[in-house]
Amino acid sequence: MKLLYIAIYRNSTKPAKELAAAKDLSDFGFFERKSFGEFLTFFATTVAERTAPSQRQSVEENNYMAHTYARAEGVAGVIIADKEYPIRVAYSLLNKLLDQFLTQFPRGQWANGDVTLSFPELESSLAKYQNPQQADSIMRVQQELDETKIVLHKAIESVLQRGEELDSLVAKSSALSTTSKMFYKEAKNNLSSCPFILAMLCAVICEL
Amino acid sequence: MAVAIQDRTAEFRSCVAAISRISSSTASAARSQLLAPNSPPPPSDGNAIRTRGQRTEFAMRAASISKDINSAMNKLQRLAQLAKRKTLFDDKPVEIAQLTYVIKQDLAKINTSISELQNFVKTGKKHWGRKGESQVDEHSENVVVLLQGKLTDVTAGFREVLEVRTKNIQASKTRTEQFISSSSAAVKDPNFQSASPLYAQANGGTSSLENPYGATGNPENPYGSKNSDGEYLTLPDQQQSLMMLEEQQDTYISERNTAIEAIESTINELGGIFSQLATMVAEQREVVQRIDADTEDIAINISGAQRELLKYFATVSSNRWLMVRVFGIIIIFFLLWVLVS
Repeated sequence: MKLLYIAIYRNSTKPAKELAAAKDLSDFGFFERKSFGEFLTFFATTVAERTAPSQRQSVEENNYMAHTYARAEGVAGVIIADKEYPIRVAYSLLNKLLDQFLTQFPRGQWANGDVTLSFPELESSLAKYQNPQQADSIMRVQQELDETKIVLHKAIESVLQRGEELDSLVAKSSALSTTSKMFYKEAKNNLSSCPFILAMLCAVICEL
Repeated sequence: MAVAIQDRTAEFRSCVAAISRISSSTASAARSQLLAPNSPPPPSDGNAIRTRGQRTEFAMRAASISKDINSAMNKLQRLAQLAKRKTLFDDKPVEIAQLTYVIKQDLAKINTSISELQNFVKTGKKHWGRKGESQVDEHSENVVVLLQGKLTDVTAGFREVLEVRTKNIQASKTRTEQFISSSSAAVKDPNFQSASPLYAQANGGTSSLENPYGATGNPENPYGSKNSDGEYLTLPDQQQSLMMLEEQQDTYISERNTAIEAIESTINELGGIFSQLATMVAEQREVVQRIDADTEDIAINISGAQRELLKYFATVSSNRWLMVRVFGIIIIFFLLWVLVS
């Protein structure tokens, strides 16, 4: 599961202009990187141009999927990832990034001309979202809940075992109590009568 | 069709009556009671025959429960076999899921029937009173305990199999990632070829989504949209792609919805588990109290016995002559032991 490319485009103009981008091409050999990077840019530009405002779209090409979300203001975010990357996470990441972008850069900065803005959030979220299980809050919560469930199951097992041990303890303690009661009664009854009985008692107890 | 089926109930009944007559003349009372037919009790003989009928019923119930347990154990073995497979592709998730579900239901059913049987035994005991049939009581209780033990065994085995299965799933996933994620799209289903650039992914997250036009899906859609919310009308290109777009919008939102609902249900399950845990600990608290009371009784008894011994020792040590007598008798006793053995 890999995120390759996150970028923000201005798609109110044709051709769409890349406003900020972050790439992760560490999987590719040194000489492939440049051409692949250009392919990514071209792919993203095409898709961003074809996405109408207030619309989400996912496009497949070769081995990769591009997820686009175009906002009404005229910016679109594009994420290119491999096919296994969960789509919901991609879209929620796009939402988040676009909101941040729009609050950080007012319209005037990118509406016209050939600007390239520096948006370090892209790089950091690209790195962070390589592991969608941890980065996306919903998935993380689900994962933690599953782990908790496993722990609880183990706890219930231990409690069951504890129950069994308690049952054996109860049996033993009741047996002991009966024996000690007998011992007490015999001692009370017999010791006051004849001292000879003491010897009998000791013999009986030794045999026990 | 009714011709092939013969009704031989009358023959069966006469056989049973003959056997019971024969065995009642030779065998013990208990055995004949088990063999006696389950006829309605005459009002005069009330209690005795009712006990016989109850015990037969008990035997039948116990037999059916043990049969269920055996069948559950067989299914569990089959599931264990399935779960042990470590192949990457030949995994049969549907069958495993079905088996798991069936086994779970069976176990729950067996559990309820065993608890019913236990209640039955308890109420039966109240009827029987103390007529010297304690052996039958013991036998019934032992049978119930045995069945419960078997059930716990099967449940433990079931849990182990599930753990093995989860481990295998995780292992196979990591292996799949290693081997398949870097290869080309050889694993792709050719049906899913993107004819249009607006191809919607085949992820199963949309299975709960309703068609926004409230109609059932058309699985034969030539554009290969295998979502359950397929197209209803065969529209021309552009409109079709527009509909797919709208579905994608809803797809994202509904997928979020599903994910959050899953979280909610997990949390509910967790709450249930916690309360179960609390119930079990509360039940055990009673047992702990009993142990406590018993230990105190033991302490009291032993201290009382020690008091008696001390008193005796005081009596003995006060009188020299008594001591000499006692030791003399002890020595004679030992001599006797030595001579005899």
